[in-house]
Amino acid sequence: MPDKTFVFEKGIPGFEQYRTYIRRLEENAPFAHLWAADREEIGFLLVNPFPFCPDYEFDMPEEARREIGIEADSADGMTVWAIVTLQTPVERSTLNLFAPIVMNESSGKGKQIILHESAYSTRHPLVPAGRRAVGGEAL
Amino acid sequence: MLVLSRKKQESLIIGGEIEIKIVAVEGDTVKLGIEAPRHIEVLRKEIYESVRESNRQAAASRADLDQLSNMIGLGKNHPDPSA
Repeated sequence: MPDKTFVFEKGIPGFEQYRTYIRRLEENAPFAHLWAADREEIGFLLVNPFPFCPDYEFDMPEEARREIGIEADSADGMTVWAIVTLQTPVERSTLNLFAPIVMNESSGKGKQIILHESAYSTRHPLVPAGRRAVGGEAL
Repeated sequence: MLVLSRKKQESLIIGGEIEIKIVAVEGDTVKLGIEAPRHIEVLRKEIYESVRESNRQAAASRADLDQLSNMIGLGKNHPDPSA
């Protein structure tokens, strides 16, 4: 899968000045890299949130849908990602389910949406607490 | 910063399309009613700040990302061709 360019019209909170990002998918893993096209020092590790939170759901706000060009009541061509905050040890890493990244694979537009009415956390554990003690287990 | 006084039920208009109305004042809490076009996102500032902070903590350089992927066992099937 080749690298793909995505435009974030409003940037990403904290990095509002960067609008164009490049995404590289990891093969055989639910991860991707996303970095600013103009500045490779600004990058994020993304993960498909659903294997980590099977019940994850949200309503896509209308303004966000318009911004990235997704039809109402349709998720066609849309992918959902969570930003990972890596910690040491890696098992303590967290994902941001409160502000997921949505990407329109056809239009090449992306947005970080803020689910301000939800109870999701910006620090959802990547590994459930009960499993953290298991050493060496693949994530 | 522009500072101005408003009474209950009075409003402000910003840019001709955003209206902010003082709905109620109870002690040190002011209740605001906001009418804005749908493409204008309205958020409590501390919520936006928490997302910024989380993003800043999560940010890593592209080189770090590659290294981290290798560390956690990703990407070993397709080493970076430029390496």
